[in-house]
Amino acid sequence: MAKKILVIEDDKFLRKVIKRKFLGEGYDLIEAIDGEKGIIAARDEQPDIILLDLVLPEINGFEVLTRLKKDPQTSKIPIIILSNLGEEENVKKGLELGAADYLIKANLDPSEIFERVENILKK
Amino acid sequence: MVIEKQKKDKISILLNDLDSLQSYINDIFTFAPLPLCFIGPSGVILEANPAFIKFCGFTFDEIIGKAIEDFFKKKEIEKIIKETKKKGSVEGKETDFFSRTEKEIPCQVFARPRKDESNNILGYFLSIVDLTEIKRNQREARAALINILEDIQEERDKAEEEKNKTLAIVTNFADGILVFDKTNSLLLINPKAEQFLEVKAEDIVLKPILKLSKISSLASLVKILRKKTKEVSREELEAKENLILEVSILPVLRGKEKIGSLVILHDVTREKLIEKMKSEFVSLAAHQLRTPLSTIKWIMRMILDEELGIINKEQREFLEDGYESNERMIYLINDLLNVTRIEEGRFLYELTPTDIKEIIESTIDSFKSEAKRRKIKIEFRKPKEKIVKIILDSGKIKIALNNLIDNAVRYNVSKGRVIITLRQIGKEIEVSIKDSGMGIPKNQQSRVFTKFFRGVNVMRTDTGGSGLGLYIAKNIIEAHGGKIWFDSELNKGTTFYFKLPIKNKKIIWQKKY
Repeated sequence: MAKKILVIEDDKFLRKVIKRKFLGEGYDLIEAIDGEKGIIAARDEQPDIILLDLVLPEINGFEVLTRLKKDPQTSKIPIIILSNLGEEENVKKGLELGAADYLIKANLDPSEIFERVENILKK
Repeated sequence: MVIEKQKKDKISILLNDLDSLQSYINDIFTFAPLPLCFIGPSGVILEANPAFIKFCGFTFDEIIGKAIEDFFKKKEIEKIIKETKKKGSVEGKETDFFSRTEKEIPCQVFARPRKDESNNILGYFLSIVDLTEIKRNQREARAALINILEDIQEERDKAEEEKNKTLAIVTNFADGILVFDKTNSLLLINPKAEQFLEVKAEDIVLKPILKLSKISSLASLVKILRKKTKEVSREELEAKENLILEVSILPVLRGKEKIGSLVILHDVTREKLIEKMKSEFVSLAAHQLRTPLSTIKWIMRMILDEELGIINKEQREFLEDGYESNERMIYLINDLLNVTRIEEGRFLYELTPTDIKEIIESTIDSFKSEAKRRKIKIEFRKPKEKIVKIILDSGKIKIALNNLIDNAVRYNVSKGRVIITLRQIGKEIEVSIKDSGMGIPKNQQSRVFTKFFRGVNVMRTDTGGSGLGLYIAKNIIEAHGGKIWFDSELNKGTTFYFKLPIKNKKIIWQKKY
């Protein structure tokens, strides 16, 4: 069965590239353009993994992460932060809040992101 | 008869004695250094000794027969004579003497009447003591005393004025000031410090530091004060909400002895706010810039990886150039972010015991494809024995190494070499990165570690660098208590060295706020 990935990302171009990459790799992909929609999608769709942006309209990624980790329905789903906020404070905060990995968009290629997702799913 | 003779002899002896006495008195009269004279009942001078003659400036002949009142104020001498007559003597009456040449010579007059057997006054003996010298000495002594007193008063006024000035400065100073004595009792607090700390001077002055710590607004300040009082130190203190103070503690010294400490509280709230805003701005700007660059990077990479279809050789070449330019932009943003954080003083982050060999190896690994493309051989010369782990921020050391190796690869010749050597020398780890590149011109060597420096020879062949890499590397190494340097020869190559202490006491921790 195909693995299901939820991408919470407000930038449509980035979303488009990620979508193309993961569909090409045989994944099922759900998109959410803000935090609120992301939380609903996570609950309803029960994805295998979530790619979460931090700078989002309305509620930010840290809050989305906190809420998903608190909710027993979604707390087990591994979440990878995929953001361009690169400060160490942010990385530390994300990992402390329970993110499985923290990826900085500009420093990675799509295939590297894909590899990191696969790595988490293998665990 | 015999009795008569005896009487006669006795009288003769007595007369003889009287003669001797007379001449004795005459001698005294003549040679006494004190001016003496004898005046008749009407005040005419009948006799005067040489001292008197000298004193009044006339000759003996001129004096005899002269009225005594010519030498004094009339009223005064009349009074002296009258008093002598009445009381039998005048002892040291002060008055003025008028000599031939000088008026009003201050003097003391002693007077005694001379009487006959039936107590009739025959005249008066006067002696005069010249007080000029004594008076002058007295005057001088008094003037000197007055001068001294005036000087003292002046000094006192000056000191008072200085004290008032100092107090006015302290009172009106824009910074808070506290002064503690040797035993750490509070001596002085100015109004600004009272305002900052929300205390009243009368409640806390002369109280020892330990008691002050019980006042809640002072507790955190006291903590800083107790920690270090031996040398000048500076620390930030969040005194209350919206008030960040920079606390400077300076020892007050007399000679070499410490007699107290001076504490200055400077309000840095505004600076901190601006710093924070700047940092947030840079961080947000970096984020906003990175997002479109990420899109470009990802799209080009997917096309280059032929995930969207086959591309021809020319298309690949152009796309690779585009990808590389985009990468430079991303690096530049990373560099700018790092520089901002260096300048904010919050650069080192997580310090953990680290095997530097592993960091070097992984950094070299990340240059594999670039080195291959430029046909450059990277060699790592590491010691056979195990290198001790050192406490460092591995992410930052990796950035420093990355910048140094990147330069060595980028500014090398085709088929060149990069040799990285790791050694332990005593209590230090030394890493060197040697290239066979174009070298740094001698006249530019002093500027190598400055911000935005780029070698003139490098700029002709490569436009990609930001000029920030070595500045960042230097800051990273120095923040770890290390040292960085280089030697370089034009067209032969450059070797960069850095040293890190194994036991690191000098690490500059990031400032927290």
